[in-house]
Amino acid sequence: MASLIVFSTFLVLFALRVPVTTAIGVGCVAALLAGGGSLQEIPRHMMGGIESFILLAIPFFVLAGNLFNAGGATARLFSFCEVVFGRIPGGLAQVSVAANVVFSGMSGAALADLAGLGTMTVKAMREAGYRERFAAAVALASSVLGPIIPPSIMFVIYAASTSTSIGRLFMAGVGAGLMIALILMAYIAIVVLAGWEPCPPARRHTLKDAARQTWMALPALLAPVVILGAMRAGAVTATEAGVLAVFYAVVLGAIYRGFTRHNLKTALVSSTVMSASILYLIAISGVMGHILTADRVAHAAAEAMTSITTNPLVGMLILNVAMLVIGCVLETTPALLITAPILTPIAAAYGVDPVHFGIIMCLNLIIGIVHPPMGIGLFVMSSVTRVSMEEMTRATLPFLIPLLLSLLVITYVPAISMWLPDLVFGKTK
Amino acid sequence: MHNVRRALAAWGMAEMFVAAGCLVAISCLNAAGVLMRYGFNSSIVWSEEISLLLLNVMVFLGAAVMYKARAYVVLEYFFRKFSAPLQHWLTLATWALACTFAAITAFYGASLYPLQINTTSFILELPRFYATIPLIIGCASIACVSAFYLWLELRHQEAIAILPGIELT
Repeated sequence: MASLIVFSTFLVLFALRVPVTTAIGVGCVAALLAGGGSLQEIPRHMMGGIESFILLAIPFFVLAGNLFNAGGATARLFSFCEVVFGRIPGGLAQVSVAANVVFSGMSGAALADLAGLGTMTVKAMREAGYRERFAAAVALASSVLGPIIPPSIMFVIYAASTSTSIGRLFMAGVGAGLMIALILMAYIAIVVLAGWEPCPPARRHTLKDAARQTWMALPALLAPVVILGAMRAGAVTATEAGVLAVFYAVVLGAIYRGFTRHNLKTALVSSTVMSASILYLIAISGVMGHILTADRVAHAAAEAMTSITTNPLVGMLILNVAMLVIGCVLETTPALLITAPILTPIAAAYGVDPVHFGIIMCLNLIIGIVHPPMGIGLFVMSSVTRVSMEEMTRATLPFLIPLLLSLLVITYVPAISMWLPDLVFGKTK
Repeated sequence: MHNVRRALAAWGMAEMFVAAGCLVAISCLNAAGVLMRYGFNSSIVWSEEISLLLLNVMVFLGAAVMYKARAYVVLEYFFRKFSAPLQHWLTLATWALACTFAAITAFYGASLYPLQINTTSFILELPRFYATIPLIIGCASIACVSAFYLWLELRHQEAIAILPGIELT
């Protein structure tokens, strides 16, 4: 009953433009009052919600992403990817996907990718003669890789709310991210080769120029290797890997001489407010988590789902559709915080590994940023380009085909995600 | 009213400064921890406790800044379809709810004082209530700013962000 009050109050208020944190909070107050609980539970569970060392990784990865952008590492990466991938069908569109793969290994959020790399990609593609709306759609679709390829803020939140191994999640994201990138690149190649989208010939690079770009990008290219390598070697925890990423970004910014007083200040302020907004939401979700746990919602939901079907293939299909719908109407962080503790036991009842399900869940929810009504990526891209929301939506919708195909492949072929964590950490029993 | 806005903006800038300072301090503290472990085969035993305390300060003061910058997550889709008078009433209700919830959290946070003042952390033996203080200050600040936005809306004035120009990248 209490959980029904939380959910219904939250959904109604959120639909009426109440800030998500207030909507959840008011829902919790209503549920506690209805159930005769003490309102002291609110501050107590808010504090408990963020009393976790692993959550410190969130501000670190947010700050690292913004510092990589501010320091000029993103521009070097783009130039390097242009040298390597610029000549394959799709030219700069392929470069956009490849650059996102590398940049995702440094930053942990899709919006950091969009604001930095996305803006740069669209500008380069527009100047090369691509249609701007196609360029913006490619940048937006590729930004989905940000939260899938480690380090990932979404994985940290999922791990903290479901007690899953963050190391295994990070490793699982590598295979899944590469699969999505391959499918996106194949889709772009088909679109270009079929003549559906004009693709101006890419700029030729001399050997000397290619060598120079590679040399310039080398320190930035080493960032994912350093961050993930240190974690893999057991030298640092996930939280410390975030610190490492921050300091690596500072060093890169110094090497590239990209920092100015203004962009450093902007990066710091923006990272502080963004991290605080995520963690404040996590704090309030801690109260909701307490109410849902007391109501045994996850257990009841798992029983209800398995009574509908015991077939894991059908069950996962239903879960995917449900998560896609949730991703349509809710922003990724609240969606993850609300649904992860409920849906993970259901997936476990179907025999799906929580690490594998974490990848599926994050991909489902992050797809929501590329389409209306909650497509934050659409708003960001539309505001940084000259493309209207309507045009942006029309150009981006075809990219749901490769993204949904990736989702199906990743859902039904667990080995894509699980081969690397199993190889690195051994199989779980 | 102009003075209230200026006071809230100055308070917001102070919160921003402290919250950003905490982020820098947490980064340096954890980096020092790694350095000590590998460079000097030692460790800063209190770093986790202090990091979590600073994180609390960053989160709750940062959340107050978020409200002042109006940089929170909302769903505009349905709201835009309503008539102007209905939008006005919904906005009034939104700020009233935000103010009430933040005030309840701050009040009940302060009421934890007798329970938490004698419970201490493991290493530094700091009273647990110290970790609750940022929540009380942050939520009280959110309640004040929400009340200000509510007042503006009651007077049919546009509630422009107190701290404009903060963008979430």
